[in-house]
Amino acid sequence: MTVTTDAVDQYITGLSLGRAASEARAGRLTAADLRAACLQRIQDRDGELRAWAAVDTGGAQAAPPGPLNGVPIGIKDIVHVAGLRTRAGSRLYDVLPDRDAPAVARLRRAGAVILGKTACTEFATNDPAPTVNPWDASRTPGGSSPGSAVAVATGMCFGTLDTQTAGDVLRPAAYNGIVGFKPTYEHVSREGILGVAWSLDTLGVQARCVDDAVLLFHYLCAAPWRRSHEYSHKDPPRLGVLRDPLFDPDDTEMIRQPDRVAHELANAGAVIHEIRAAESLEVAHAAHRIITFAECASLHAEIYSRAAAEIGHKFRELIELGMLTFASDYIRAQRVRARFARLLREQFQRFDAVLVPAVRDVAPERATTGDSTLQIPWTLSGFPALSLPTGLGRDRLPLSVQLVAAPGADTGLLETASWCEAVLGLPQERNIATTPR
Amino acid sequence: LTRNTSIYIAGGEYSMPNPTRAQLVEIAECVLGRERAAALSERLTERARHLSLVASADLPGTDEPGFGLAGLTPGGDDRDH
Repeated sequence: MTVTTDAVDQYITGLSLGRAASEARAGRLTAADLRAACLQRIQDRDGELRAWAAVDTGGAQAAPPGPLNGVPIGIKDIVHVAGLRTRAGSRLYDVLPDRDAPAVARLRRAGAVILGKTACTEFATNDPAPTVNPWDASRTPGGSSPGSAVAVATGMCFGTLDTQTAGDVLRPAAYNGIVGFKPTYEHVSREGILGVAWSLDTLGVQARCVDDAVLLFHYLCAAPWRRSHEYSHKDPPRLGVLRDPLFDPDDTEMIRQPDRVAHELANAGAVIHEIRAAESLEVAHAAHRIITFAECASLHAEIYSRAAAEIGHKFRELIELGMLTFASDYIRAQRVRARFARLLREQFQRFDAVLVPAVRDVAPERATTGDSTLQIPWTLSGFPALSLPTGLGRDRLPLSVQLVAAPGADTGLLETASWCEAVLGLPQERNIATTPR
Repeated sequence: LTRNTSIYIAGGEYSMPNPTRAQLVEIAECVLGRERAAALSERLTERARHLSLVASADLPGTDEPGFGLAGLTPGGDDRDH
């Protein structure tokens, strides 16, 4: 049997990040093999999918020193990478950084190769990017990190570094059938990013499985971690299933995922408790909007005064709503936030993770970037949250569930998510990275 | 009202916990002009609801633990946790 170059590339780009690194470490693959396979995948598919803002085709071929052994990753185009232009999805912003953001530098020191900048919505807000959802071109790939989600889902790279202000990591991950992880607020340095709202912006990652998110998180913040096989025998977790009027009506497959998943996990030994949020999620959502608008208007006042008519209309609305926000309302929203975070932290500390819907429905039409309502409470409170793929729905579109934990419990959340992923399985159908075109 | 000075007077006048949509429209016309206020019409309805919800929420007392100053300053350092 002849093994074609295409088949080898297909095999390589279908590997997990952890497996690719270990194959390179063992000498069965080289950093050049990994890079070439990803570049070939980009050449084959990115004309159609538009996941990349810029690809570093001239990068070094040799494996950089470090345990990731030259695994190629993507960086959202609002995070600075030395020598690659940051354009933030806008023709009004163009900066050539002379140094990496600290988070990027950490991944580089761990041996990752920065393959390029992934496409984002304009200034990481809500005007749709040109990126196409690989599952259904008529649907949104999400926002504000759609390029990253599509690049990971289709095997153009092995993982990405992203930011979340509302639902910008978890939502595109959910719409594209991959894992999105947002750590506790400020667990990963925010230096070197073009912010949206500084008291909310959090760096996170997208990857094809939980273990890959664990690896990236480990190298991003030097968190204590264990490989999945080291904790696969841990006791089944204690899980909360959160009930809240914000999830009503429960009329979509996505909204019903926590119940479906909880049933399956309970059969595997997980202890499940239904809980009601100690504070209204709807009020938390309102506080988040007020804070976002005010901070975004403050950060982007200069570009608004210079080019208001040239920016996307949703970005413009965001700034204008911020200009109409009184200081007293902003401070009140921050105080509401403090109370919300305290009450829910006390409640969530009793569980290894709390299950909530990741999004209200599967990816909607392309005119929007989708609905961030169900990710917002956890970004507001600074709690770690992860979207875990759970298979495909009736329309053959990805389904997900969201796992949330108390602040600081990032490692425990990742361990629990890994246990859940092992129970739920990794159905081949949910991963289109290995799908030939 | 002029854009740069008198709006602070309006700010004081309307800085109540629960402004109505009509009051928000009036402020928007002062700050952004009539055309943009009209463009934001739907969002101002939404905004009035946000403000109303936040106004109705219990606030932490000054003796309660909260976020402290975390997140209230731009930047973010490169520390380990």
